[in-house]
Amino acid sequence: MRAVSRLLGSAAGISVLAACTGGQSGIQPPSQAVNVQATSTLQFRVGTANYQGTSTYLNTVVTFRQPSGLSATLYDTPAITGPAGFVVPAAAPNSPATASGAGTDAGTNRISATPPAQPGTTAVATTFGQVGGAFSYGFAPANSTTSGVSFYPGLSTAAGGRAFGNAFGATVTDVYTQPVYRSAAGRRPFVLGPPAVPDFHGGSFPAGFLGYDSGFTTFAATPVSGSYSLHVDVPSSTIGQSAAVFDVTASLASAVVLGTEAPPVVAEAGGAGTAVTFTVAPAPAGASQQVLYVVDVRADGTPVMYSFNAGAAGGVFTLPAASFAAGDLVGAYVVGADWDIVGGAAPNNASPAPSLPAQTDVTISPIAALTYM
Amino acid sequence: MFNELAHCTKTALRNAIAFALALSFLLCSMPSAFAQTVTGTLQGTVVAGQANTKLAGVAVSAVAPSGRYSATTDQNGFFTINGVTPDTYTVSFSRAGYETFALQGVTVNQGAIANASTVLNGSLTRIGRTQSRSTTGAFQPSQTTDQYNVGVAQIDTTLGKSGGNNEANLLAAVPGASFDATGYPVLRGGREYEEGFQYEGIDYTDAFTHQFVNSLILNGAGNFQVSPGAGDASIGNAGTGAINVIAKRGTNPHFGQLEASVMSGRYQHEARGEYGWAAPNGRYSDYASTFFERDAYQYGDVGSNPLLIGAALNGRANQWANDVLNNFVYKFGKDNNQSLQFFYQNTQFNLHLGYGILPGTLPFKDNDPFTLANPGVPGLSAAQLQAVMPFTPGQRSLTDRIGALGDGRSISNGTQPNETVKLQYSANLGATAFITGKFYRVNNVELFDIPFNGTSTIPNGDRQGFQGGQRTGFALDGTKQIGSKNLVGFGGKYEFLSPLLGYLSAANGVATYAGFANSLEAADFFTPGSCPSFYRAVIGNGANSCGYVTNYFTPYRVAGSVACSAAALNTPACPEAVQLPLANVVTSATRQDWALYLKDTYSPTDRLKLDLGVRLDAVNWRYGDCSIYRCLPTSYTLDSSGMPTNFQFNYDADTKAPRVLQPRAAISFQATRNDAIRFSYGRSVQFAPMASVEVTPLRSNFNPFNNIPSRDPLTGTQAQFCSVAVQINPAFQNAPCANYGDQLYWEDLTALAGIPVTPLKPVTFNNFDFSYSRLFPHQVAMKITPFFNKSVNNIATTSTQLVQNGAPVFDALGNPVLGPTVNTNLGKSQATGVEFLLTKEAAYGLSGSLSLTYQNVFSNVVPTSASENFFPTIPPESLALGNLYRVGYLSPLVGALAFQERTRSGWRINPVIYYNHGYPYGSGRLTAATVNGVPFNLPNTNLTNPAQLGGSPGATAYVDPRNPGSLFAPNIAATRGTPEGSSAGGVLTAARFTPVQLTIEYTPPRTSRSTYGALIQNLFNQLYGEPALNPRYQPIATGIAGPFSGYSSLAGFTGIYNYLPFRGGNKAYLLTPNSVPRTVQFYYQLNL
Repeated sequence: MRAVSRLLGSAAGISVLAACTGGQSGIQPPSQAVNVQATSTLQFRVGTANYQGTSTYLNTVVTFRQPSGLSATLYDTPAITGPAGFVVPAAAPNSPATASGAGTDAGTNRISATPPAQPGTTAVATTFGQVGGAFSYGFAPANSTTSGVSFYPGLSTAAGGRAFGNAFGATVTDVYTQPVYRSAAGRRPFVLGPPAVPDFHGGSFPAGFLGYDSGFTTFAATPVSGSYSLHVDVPSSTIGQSAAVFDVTASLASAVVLGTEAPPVVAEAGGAGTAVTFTVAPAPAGASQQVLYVVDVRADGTPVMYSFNAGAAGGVFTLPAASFAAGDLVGAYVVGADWDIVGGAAPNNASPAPSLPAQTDVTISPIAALTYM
Repeated sequence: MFNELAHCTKTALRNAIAFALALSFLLCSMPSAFAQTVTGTLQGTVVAGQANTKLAGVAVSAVAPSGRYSATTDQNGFFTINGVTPDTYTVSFSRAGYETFALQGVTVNQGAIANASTVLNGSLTRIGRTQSRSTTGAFQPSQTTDQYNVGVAQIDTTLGKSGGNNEANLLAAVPGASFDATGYPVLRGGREYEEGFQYEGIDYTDAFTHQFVNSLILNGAGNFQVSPGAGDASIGNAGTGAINVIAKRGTNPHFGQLEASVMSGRYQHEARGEYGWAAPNGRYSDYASTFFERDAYQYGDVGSNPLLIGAALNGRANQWANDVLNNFVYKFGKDNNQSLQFFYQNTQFNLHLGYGILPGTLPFKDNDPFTLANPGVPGLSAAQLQAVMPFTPGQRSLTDRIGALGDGRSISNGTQPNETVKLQYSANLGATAFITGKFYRVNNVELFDIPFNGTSTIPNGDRQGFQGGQRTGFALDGTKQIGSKNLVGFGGKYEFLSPLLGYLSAANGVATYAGFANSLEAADFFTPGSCPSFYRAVIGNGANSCGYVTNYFTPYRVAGSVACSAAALNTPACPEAVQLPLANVVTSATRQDWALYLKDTYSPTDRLKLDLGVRLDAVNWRYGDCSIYRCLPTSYTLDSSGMPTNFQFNYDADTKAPRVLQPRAAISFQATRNDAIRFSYGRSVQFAPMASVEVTPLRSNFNPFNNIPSRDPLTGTQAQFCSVAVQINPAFQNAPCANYGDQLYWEDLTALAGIPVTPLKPVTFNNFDFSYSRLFPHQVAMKITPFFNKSVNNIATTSTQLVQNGAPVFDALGNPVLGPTVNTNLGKSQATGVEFLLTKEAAYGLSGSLSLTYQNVFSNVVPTSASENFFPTIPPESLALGNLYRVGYLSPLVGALAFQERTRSGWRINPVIYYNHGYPYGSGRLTAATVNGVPFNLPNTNLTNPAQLGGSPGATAYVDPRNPGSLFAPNIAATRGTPEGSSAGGVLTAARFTPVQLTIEYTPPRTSRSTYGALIQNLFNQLYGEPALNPRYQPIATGIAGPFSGYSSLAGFTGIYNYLPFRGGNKAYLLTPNSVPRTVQFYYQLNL
């Protein structure tokens, strides 16, 4: 009877209109606004990314937080400007279109987002577009819209989630798969899941929640030593005007990369249908921390993320058989870094300015995978 | 009882006489209300003053302009006159040996007993005297039920001038009544359809929705009576209260008035007139009243473009109203003891709305961005959609823009004609009995023509139709005085209700095929040569995936056949597809209402009255027996193949033929000369309107397809969904469709109209109230009435748990499996409050009334949700949790002050001020939502919106998208910065004095036929309605909105819905200009 209700409601509206008599007047409810400029803290670091020992890319880390440690804003427009000689490669958007192409950033030294544009007009294509901003721990395609949706990692596409291509063919939404500018087959999500962070499975978290950001965003652009500036514009209710503006710089002192990270060894050690073990080698040269990322891709393409803080020593890590179903694609990869990736991540780190080294380098291993039997 | 008045001072006496001449409202003695009747009773006891003995043989005569009555006291000194036309009478008493005494200002109201007891002093000199009875306003010492009568004078004061027609304002000035959040008057916390409304004793609500049929335009009212609560046994089907308006009658001497008025600042003019006359002997009388109003309604500031105010924002372009009323009475028989009344009213109300779109740019089928962006049928291009989409009603070709230029149709058009006829016979049967029999017919229909409904609620894209119906009835009422202590009332009625509904829509016609599993059906309507690639791919039969229906039509159009040459095919004139049929829903059931009542007013003394009564209200629904083809089964079993069978329809007698017995009891006691108390209890009932019970698609709409065999395009076999079973579970497809027309009918029903018949129980209320009233000097009186009512079986739309194989159905997790969303009786509410009335009566000087109502109303409907006050919906989660909320449609404290200062030099200053303490708003910090199938009251954030968890729409708190937290403990990173209560509607808007109007009027004393006046409307120029949550708010940080606020981010809607700056589109809440600006109405009245 829903349609009927609408009918009646609308039809009744005519009667109600007939009844309007001056009606009830109102005023805008009182509203208090936070001082974003005064209460938010923006940190920015750059470094190198050793991608599987084959490529050297630019790595960035950003934190943009309010005093509680939560993201400073739900919408902002970041722009990174590199030193002379830094060039953004031409990269077409992958399918789906929200996946990061370079747009007008190609050929420049800027990795930017698109400022809010008049709805209905064609927005300028940039790396982040209008959806990408700086959040509590990393850049993310999570800028708010008017539909009241939270663009958390793993939001279903039916609810508005923006899917990004990846090497697993999994439905990864609202997370930049990296390195940005590579083709989908060369990108993967770096999302922290349990046990490195408290378990969020069980249904009490938002449906499909994948996990927490790792703070870093790598770009398939050749890093150039020098100063990188980050400008973050927080828009106001008027297009072209800002509620707050932040500018910070980061220095890439050395373009020397961390040692090459070896892929983990993945196995159903106890035979088919048993627990899966992941063996992580000690950290390569220069890396003080390691994080093991596990992606369990279900038959319907839904990914489930796990991660382990493997430290410098590495080791053998296990996920119980109950975590998997026959036919799952289990992928794993390791990231070595010269800062504590997990230590700075939500939900445990509530610092407005988590500790970061002067330069943040990562080394990314190749993917190891098996099909769970 | 009022012998003390003989000792009043001259000043008091003069004031009382003056008031009696000037005001005729709020009589003290009205112990009961026979709402179906239009006459009252005059009675009293005459006592010899010196001996204090009952005085027999006293000749009593009651004279007023509208009638003359006589009686003689019996051996107990008692007299009674039944069937008295409401008016203010002079009652004279005379007997040889005693003084002649005239009691002036005795007002008789409909259904009420006016007490005219008096004391006659012996007088050898037989010197006559006169004395006035103060009508005493709020002081009603012998009134048993809670009731407020507003006479002509107070009607004029409340509405600012004589001839005012704003019924909503009048009603809202009565204690117990208030404007709801949309400006509709409601009683004691009830919803818009939970109150009764009668005019001349006729139920003046439409047969389909139970709404007022007169568009809340008042014409020719002689008395306005409001009975909050159950009232006495003569009041039925009235929920939380009843309103009974009595038309004026012709009088001798005659009276009349002509008026013309114009409005400054905006286009409006009005002409009205009334005239009443009667023959000197009272045999003939007639009263006629009419008015004509033309108004280019202006909302917002003076000069603002109403078109720019926008969709659903009351952007009214213009309206007009014509109303004609006539009330003729012929009296005959001995002493005119019989009468025939013929009453007629014809109201035409017409309005045109602007939806924020300039007429020259109206988008319709050829380029309607809303429909084209939301075709309802997947995989179609705009051109393909245009080919298959039916024309908007009235549209003649693809490029015909309805409402643009030339055809005179606005974006939204409504007409509300109402014609009412009553023929009534009355007779006094001897000195103590009176009966009235009447036949009446109320014909009301609301016509709506909305070729473009530019809201986000496609499939409500275009609508054209009507709703209303006819109410024809017979009623008999009688009163019989038994002895001097018992006045018995009895009566009954029988009504035939013939509801009407028609609802054509092209957009819904398309949407029909998108709301069900067989949305691929649209492929059947395309020629193979034009088969959209979507269908080729999904159905997988190449071009032959299409064309099933087109094989049966040449050329490819259901209606308006066009002879197409081969070369012309696939042109706009000969489209590439058969057009889908228009959606059209109707109601086909009728019903009969009947009632009986019996009551007795027992008056052991003049100070004590006791009312006891019982009422039986009944409805005979005429929709036939339930079957799987008509009703939702209450349970069923599964056969070996897993298909449902053995459908049970355990709708009890309360739903099929409800009979509700309602006891009523009330008592009043006048403790002292100036103090009185009363108490009443009553059970009342409100039957479900037809609109809640039966709405189905029009089967004949699909007749052109009857010669086509049914075929499910998905399976290629006969469709199996032609019963209600598929609404329980889409997998329950074991009901073969007889043909393709049947198939389309059931698809339309399933996707659009819902369950054909949903039997509902009547809503029942238990009402309690108590009053204390006091009379102060100088005709100041007050009455205070605490009240309580509790209702069950309120109508609400929701989902309930399925019953399968005799047991409730649970899912694998043990959670209830819900059935389809249907109308239910699962709503409930209760109201506690206090009414207060203060009156000051005077012919000159200061007079008027102050009413206040405090109301604390709870319901299980989520406050401020859509349709909260009009057929609400309850989220199943909230229902399962048993949540009870403070209602969002009422201000907890409302009041109205209507007074005037009238000078003897001819001036009259008349302010009218309404007050509300603020209306509830806000989405609340908590909302009911489901986690793992289990309902919880969760923190209300954007995580719990309907798309994700089925919670209440709207939230002002936003989680950190990168660290959202759990649903039980979300990490809120930003809010809109506005205050929130624990639940929706938990905070109040600012208290306001609105509406406020001021009249300044001058009637030259020496040429009193003319009156000149100016009525200032919206004195404080308050233009905006209550704030509503901005549905397109972009959160940036707490209290900071983003630049896209006010715009839609949905594909296809981008940039269309910009809430214009004057509405605060980038604010947390939107304000809608829904009030006329401060304007002055200049009027001239010629008194005939």
